[in-house]
Amino acid sequence: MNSIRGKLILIQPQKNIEFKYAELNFIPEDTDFIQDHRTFEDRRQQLIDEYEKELRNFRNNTMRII
Amino acid sequence: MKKPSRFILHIKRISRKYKKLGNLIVYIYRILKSSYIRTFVNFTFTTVLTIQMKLADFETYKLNQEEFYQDKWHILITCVFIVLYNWATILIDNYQKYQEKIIKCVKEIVNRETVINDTIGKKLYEITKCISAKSSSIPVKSDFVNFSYQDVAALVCHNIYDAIKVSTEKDSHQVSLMQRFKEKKTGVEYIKMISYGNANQITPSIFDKHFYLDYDQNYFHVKIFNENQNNIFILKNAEEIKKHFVYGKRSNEDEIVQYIAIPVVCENEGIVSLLQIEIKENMLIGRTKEEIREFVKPFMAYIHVLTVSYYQEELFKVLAKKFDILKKSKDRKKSFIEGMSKYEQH
Repeated sequence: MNSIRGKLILIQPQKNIEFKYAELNFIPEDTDFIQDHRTFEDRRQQLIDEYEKELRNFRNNTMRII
Repeated sequence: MKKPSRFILHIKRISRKYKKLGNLIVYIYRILKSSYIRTFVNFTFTTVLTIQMKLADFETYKLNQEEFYQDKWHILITCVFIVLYNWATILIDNYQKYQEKIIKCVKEIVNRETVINDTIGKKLYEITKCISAKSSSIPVKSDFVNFSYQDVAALVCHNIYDAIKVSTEKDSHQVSLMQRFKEKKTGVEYIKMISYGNANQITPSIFDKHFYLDYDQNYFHVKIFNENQNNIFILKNAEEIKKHFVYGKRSNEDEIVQYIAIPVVCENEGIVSLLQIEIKENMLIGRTKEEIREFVKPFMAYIHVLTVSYYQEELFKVLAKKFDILKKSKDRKKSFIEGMSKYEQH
């Protein structure tokens, strides 16, 4: 029984892991980025609103502002 | 922002070039900007001029006679000194006002950069919290997408746009970020605009348009990526923009009168992004390359934010891929054990 299990374990994707790691490329693929004009503009406005709110809070904190 | 006179810039250049003369200029500048010294000099000039006027003879000869001027040349010299002194103090005052505004602008940038860093910090904390909450499960790619490089780029472009708007009181300019990509199937590299900051909340027409590094070499921004030089690129007028073919055959090429490009450089990869500032008003941020460079230098803080953010995004990608491999491996192991247990039962 033990010998059978040992043989099957060898089929585990050990080499595959190394191969995929070597494949990692640092120059990104643009599929991870928002490409649609409207979607990006909405996201941008949302981020700017959040940021402006944080900026107002920061300005009220006289200890941190320079 | 009111800019210092060309003469001041010239003096600055000379003082940088010749160190000893530069030290002397700095010394004179420090003396003349002191209000105590100014009061003393004004008092001295008034006293000297009064004595000179008292000593001079205004009665013997008439104004149109040559002899009238014989004993008054020293008054003329004093007057010349007074004019020069006042001119110098006006220049110094203007320069000091400019310096004060620059300091104010830099402080604003530091404060805004702090808020950007805080925002990034919060998003990272949210990601950590989300992953930690699911203690037994392996993180997946979607756990890391809460905050991306594109988001940071949006904030950076917005901030630089705002900083120029505040300091120039104009809003016709645009700030954008070009990013380098690789096509998955062909491996061909190209750049495209991933973010921008402008007044009208409308995406620029070239947003998401692909510029191939091999085929679109005529475009100035493509050239920058290809040449891989870590410099601040400045085109100070419409002629230079036309000459360098910044927008190819784009119709609104003539509208832009100044163009500044600052690369985001990462180790082993060269230029990964390019921050572009497009100005539509003449001499808005400077008349010379040097002036423009001085103006945009504080924005380098944002370039560093982008660099760190780029590395962070890369780390997330590697982690997501590694976790994916781990998950698949774990699933396979699980199905193997299940299969084995069924086999053992038989």
